[in-house]
Amino acid sequence: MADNIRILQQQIDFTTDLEQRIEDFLVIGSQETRTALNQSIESAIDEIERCEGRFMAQDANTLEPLDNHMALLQGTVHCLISAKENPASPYDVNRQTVAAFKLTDRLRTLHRDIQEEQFAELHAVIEQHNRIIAFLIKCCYSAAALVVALGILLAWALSRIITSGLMQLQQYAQEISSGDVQIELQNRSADEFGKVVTSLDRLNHEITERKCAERKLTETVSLLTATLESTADGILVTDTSGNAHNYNEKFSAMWRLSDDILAAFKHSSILACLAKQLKDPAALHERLILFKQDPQAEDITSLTCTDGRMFELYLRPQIAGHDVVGLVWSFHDITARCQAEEEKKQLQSQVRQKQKLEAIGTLAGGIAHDFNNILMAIIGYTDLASLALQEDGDIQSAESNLEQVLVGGRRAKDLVKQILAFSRNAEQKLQPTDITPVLKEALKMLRSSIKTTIDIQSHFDDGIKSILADSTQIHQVVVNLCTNAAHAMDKAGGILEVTLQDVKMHEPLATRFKTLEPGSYVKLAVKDNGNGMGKSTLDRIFEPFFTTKDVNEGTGMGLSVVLGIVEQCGGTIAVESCPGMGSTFSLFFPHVEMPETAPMREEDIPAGHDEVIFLVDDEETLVAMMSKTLTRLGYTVISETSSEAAWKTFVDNPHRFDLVITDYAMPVMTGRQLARKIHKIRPDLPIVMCTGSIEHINIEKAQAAGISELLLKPVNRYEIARALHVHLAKKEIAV
Amino acid sequence: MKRVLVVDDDIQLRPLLEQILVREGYEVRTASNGVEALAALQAEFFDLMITDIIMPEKEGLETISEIRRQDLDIKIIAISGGGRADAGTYLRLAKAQGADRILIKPFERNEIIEAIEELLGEPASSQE
Repeated sequence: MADNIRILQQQIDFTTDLEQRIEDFLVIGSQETRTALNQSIESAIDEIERCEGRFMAQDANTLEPLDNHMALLQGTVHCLISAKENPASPYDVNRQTVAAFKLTDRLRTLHRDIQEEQFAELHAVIEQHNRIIAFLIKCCYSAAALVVALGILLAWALSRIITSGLMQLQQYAQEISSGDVQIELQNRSADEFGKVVTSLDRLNHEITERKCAERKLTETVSLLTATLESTADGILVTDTSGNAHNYNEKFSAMWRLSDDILAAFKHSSILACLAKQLKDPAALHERLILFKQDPQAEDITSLTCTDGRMFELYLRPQIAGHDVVGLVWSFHDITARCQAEEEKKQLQSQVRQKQKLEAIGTLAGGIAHDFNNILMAIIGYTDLASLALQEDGDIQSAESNLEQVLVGGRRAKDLVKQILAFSRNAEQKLQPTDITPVLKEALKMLRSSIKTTIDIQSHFDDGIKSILADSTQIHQVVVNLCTNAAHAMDKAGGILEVTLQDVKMHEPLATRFKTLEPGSYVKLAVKDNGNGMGKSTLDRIFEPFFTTKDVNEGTGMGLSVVLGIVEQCGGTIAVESCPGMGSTFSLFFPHVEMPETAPMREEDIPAGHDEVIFLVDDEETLVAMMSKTLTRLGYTVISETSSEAAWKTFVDNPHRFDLVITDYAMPVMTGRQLARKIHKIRPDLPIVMCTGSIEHINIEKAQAAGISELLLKPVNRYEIARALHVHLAKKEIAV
Repeated sequence: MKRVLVVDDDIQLRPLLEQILVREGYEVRTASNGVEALAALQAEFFDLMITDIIMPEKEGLETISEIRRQDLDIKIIAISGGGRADAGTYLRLAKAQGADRILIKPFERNEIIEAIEELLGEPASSQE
């Protein structure tokens, strides 16, 4: 088949070539075209011969046209040959040519048919192949699709397996991070997933704990802030390196700190600003130094501002572990409190003063009573003395009456002393005092003013030690306590017991007003068996103005003043009382050593034995008075009124004197200079120096100058007698 | 001789008044308070009593009141130098209680003599 087609194709090609040559020959008619035509015709003949019989009778339908074709072709060629041989018959040629053309068309048609048939067959095969291929392709596609689908399904399944866990983990992690864990993962397997879950659990626990801690911290911070701002105190918190960490609004307002100072947050600049406002700018710094020495020390520093405000500074360490990491400065405004205290103090002072005035007012009546009696005695006895002299000539009676005038005068003097003691505003002169004679005197006075139904019993221990007190005040205290006791026994009478004893306390004694330290005390107790007092009265008896007596009965100073006096002496008062059982007021005074210069009793005043005393003083009256006193005491007195004259007298006969009494301040030569000169001649001679002022000479200086004793003027009889006795005795021993 | 009882707690004034009155010719007894005075009045007769007001044990006012209640026939001169109240107040009270005369301390010798004479008439010495 294929061969046929190929042969046919070759023939068509020949024919076509031949046609072209014929056409060229016919149109052009040149020799060349003719030659070309002839060549083509010969080639065609060759080809026809060569191809004869080559068509295989494979298909009858195909063979016949082919044979026809071949015959026609051969005829045509023959025509052409004849034409060539006979060019005079163009018609034939032309005819032959047309026939050849027709044949060619037929051949072309045949060829096309054969071709179309062959194409149709081929197409069918291809179609089939295509169908198969399409089927195969389809099959392939289907398979691929299936594979892909299966892959997707598998992947989805796998991803579902993996991602569901991961999703849970993701949700869990998200919930953990948001802090709102609602799911609970059950997977606690040992695989990686389980490990992740366990880790997440731990993380969740930690986050929960941390959040709880954060919440607590927030609460603590808010509590601290609220606390810091709610206090009335100004608070500043600094660290140890000098940075201010925190402060409250009260602090900035209290110290009027500007924003730029606060913004700097340096405590040095803040403290500098504070210091500027203080009366004592160093106080803060000093406190800080003390704090550094002992951070734990409990200490409150009082600060006074230049504008009068007052603060208490509490400095507390901020401790972390064992380290001091910061300081808390707390400033407490005490201005109002201090003002109130000051006012209270003033008020108390006023109350005391007023009470004193009232007491004086109350006493004025009593004083007037006594004073009028005294005046009457003086007037009356003077009148009688006068009468005795003028009318009776009775000198003895006159003297007796004048004696009474003197008694009256002395009574008036004592009374004035009492009035002065009451009206005295300043502190009394406290000195070592033996209070036994004071008490005796007071009780003697009380006896005449207390009802006879009240039995006064006194028990004074011998040799009671001295206390630091003012005897007048002690007198008043005793009178006051005894008068109160007498009032308590006013109706039925009773026993008023006054005891004085030395007590030694081994343990501290807590009383209502203060705790007495162990030591030696003089205990003065005033006891009555009268009404006694209930607790409510007992609680108030030391209050100023408090009284249970009628308006007109109030006498004395009141127990508040008594307490004041006792406390001034360093003592205190203890009270025991019970309704119906009487009261005991125990006064405790601390012991003091009695100096040698204490007053002596008349019988104890040592007398002289005609010893020669050399008296030197530039004041003549004093020399005269002292000479008289010394003479009465039993001494022989040689006196001079100038140091120069004294020196001459002494030098004349140095060994006649037993003792020298000299003034200190004298013109030309002071007592000290005189003493030195005397001692050069008579080193053994005791010299007692009297001075009006210790401004220029003190005991040390006097001793350095060889003075045996320094006496402060005015020197009383007892003092000089004692001094002479002591130093003369020493001289005797030395000799 | 007119008998006078001097009542005063003042240790100096009792002998003073006694001396003044004796000198004028009166017979004088003394007491240092109201209790002693009333006891003396119970025991003896007196024409006149000079009494102080403020005294321990029994005050002058109480004593005068007691005497007047007992209706004793005796003249009374109250004397006072004052006390919790002023002397004038005490003496006004004394007069209200029945004192015949009052004298404020300190008084002069002639004042008391005049007062006594006013109450008892003739001076004691001139009666004799």
